[in-house]
Amino acid sequence: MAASVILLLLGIWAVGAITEGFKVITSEQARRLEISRKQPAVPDMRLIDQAGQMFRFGEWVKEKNKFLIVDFIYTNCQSLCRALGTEFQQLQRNVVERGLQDRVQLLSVSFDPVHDSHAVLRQYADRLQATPDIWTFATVGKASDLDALLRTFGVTVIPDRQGGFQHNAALVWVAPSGKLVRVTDYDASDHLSMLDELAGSN
Amino acid sequence: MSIQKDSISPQACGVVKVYAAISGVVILLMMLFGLIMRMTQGQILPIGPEVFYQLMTAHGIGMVAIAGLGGSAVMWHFLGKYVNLREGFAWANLAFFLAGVVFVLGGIFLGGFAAAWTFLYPLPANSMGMWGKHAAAAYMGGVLLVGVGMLLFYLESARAIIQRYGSFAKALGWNFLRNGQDAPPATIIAGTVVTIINIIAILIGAVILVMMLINLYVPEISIHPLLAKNLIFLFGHVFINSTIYMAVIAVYEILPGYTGRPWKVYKTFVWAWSATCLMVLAVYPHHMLMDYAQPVWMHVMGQIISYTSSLPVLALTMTATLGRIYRSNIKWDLTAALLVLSIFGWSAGVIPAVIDGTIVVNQVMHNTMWVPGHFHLYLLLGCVPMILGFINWLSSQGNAAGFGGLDKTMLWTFALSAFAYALMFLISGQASIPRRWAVHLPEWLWYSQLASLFAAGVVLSAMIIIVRALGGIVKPARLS
Amino acid sequence: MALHMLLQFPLILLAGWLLAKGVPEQARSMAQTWNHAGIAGLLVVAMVLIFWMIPRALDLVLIDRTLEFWKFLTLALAGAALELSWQPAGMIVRGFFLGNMLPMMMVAGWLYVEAPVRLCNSYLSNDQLRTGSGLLALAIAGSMVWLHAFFMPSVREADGETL
Repeated sequence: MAASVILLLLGIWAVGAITEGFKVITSEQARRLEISRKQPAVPDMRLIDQAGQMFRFGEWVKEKNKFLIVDFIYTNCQSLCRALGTEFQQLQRNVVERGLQDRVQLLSVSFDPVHDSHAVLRQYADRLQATPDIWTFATVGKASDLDALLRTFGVTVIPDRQGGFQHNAALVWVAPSGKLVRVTDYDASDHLSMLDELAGSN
Repeated sequence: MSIQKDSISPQACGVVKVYAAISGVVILLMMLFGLIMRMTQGQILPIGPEVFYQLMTAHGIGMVAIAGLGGSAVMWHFLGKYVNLREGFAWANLAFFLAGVVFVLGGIFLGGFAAAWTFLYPLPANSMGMWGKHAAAAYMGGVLLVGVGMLLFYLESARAIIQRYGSFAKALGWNFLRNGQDAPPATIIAGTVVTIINIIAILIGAVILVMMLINLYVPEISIHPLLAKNLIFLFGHVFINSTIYMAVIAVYEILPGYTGRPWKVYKTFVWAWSATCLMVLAVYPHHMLMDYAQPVWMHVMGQIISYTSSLPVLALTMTATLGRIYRSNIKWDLTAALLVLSIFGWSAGVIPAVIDGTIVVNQVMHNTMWVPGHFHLYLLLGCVPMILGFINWLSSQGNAAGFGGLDKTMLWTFALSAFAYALMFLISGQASIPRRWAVHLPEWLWYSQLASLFAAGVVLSAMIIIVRALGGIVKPARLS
Repeated sequence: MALHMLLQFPLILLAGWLLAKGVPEQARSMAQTWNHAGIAGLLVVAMVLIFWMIPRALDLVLIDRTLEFWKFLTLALAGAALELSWQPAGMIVRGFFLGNMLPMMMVAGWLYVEAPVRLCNSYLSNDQLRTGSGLLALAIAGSMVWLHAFFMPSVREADGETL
């Protein structure tokens, strides 16, 4: 009897630990919870934008002094990234409509630096009709930096054996201070209200 | 902890009395909820829709649960005559049951949960602000707790039956079919069928409940709604069906005492129960004939099986009951009369059920009052009189009591007003009055007002029957 | 992922089971003093299996070495506990164990099949689908075998007071 109770408590403790106190059952949820709790800073590594310009990520965010919305993509993507692209197009339109160009910046980072050179990224940006002032495309300067970048943002990328990748898709919100503050689903319904909130606090 | 095998104790054990007493009180309370709902629909009571739907949810889950508990009391008591049941499991079941009830009631009346007892996905998670996540979780968690207790209960019955008869195959009478010897008693056959179907139903219920609880807190994980509905109905429909199959044991065991003719098991009886065991698991799709996304073969199966499933056991039970009574010099009293009434109500319930199980009718009738009419006939005139008859029999210590004037009046008041009450549902359904509506159109009001009158008759007569019976159950316990 | 859950896990369990076969009779009866009717042992099995059915655990074990060590240890332990507890457990304890584990496996399988999002970031989605279907099939097959056992002549008719 006593043994059973101890075992039961032990089991509940273990399940509680892996689920962060019965709050999450998947890694994706855990990652979001951790980001909103710990608010890590963006890593200060070199990125290349679609114009071929090198910049340091951390510095760049502080310089811009804007709210940054980041997603991770690769240009050969046939599925999720398209949905992400559409979502960003809408966000771009809404940023313009609300006059938030000075307060919100969009950034799409490619995790396929081998294929996605800055020329490829520029083509991709043109196809999505991205306005360069609002929506930046970039990838890592050194391929070895990729892991650290993905880890900070909690993105997992695995090759799908057909030349593409499977990856978790989400929008990461970065405050002007350079801290990651929030992760939302690409199809979440509250993006516009979040923009409204920003517009309201003007 | 064990009861002597094969000893027929006239004195019911404590746990059966507690089950019976709780069943009596809760049945009465649920009837009161029903009366309040009908009066609300008739605009006699000024009750808002939010409260109406809470009452509807409580009435539904409360009736299903208490029919289950009352049926369990009957099954446990008479099964104990033949096999060695251990009382501890019945108490454990009761403990889980009461704990579950606390959660369910808290979810409904404190948390405002009002998604009907069937908790159809995705309604519990989409309350439009009427109730919170935790209220829905309390409700579903409570139902899960009740299920855990019942699982223990049926596992103990299964163990006891197998210990005595070797296997379910023998307990169902399949050996008897082959060699014509060693027929198990009717109670064992019915008890085995219920044990099988309810263990399956409870496990399926657990799957969908846990799945919906996960969905509640992790909304990204959505569930296939049609599959969810199938599982919920498989679980709920089997469980509510099983309550009658448990309670009918009272007819098999008690009536022969009045007529002096024992309930013999024939081969057709064995066949009928085995067929029921399978069909009761496959009949629920007749509640989903309106779901056009459902595969057609399931519609067809639902229609065919709803024609055939209730018939074998019912037909045999009815003819056998009539055969027992006919020229038997039966000594009538309230118990005997309630049990005979229950067979009548059960049979009458088949007619609207079969009509509703017909696809063309179902498509226009299923969301009307016709369906509550169908299950109120079954339950109010079938299952409830079986349980009340059992409670009354317990209180009279198994002896035939006199049939006094008050008893007779109450029996007839109950029978007639319950029948008229169910009939009002059917008539309302025929007039296309929708079910599950808190507010009715002006031209529908008189239906509900008249039904309220009959409901009052049911509540009044049931109250007197139950209070008198409970007096008999509680008193000897206090003396000893 | 399918190989991980449906092949590696059962193999580790089996290893534990076979190891426990070698436990001498003396130690076995000693174990019974704290493992009354196999309840504690089957509880261990249930806990371990539930833990390793949580998607996050399955994900984390790929990048966390310590957790991987615990995976082998706990699953082997569960296999051993199963072997040591199944015989002493009566119909009710076994039934209660199966009555909890089989629905739990169905839920996990269903989660993997139905979830529109990938539950595990480190696995491909078709792999997830395969795992889910496998878990579902396993749970349904298990239920069938269990149900079938009720209809077979029982070999333990004599012992009345087991749990």
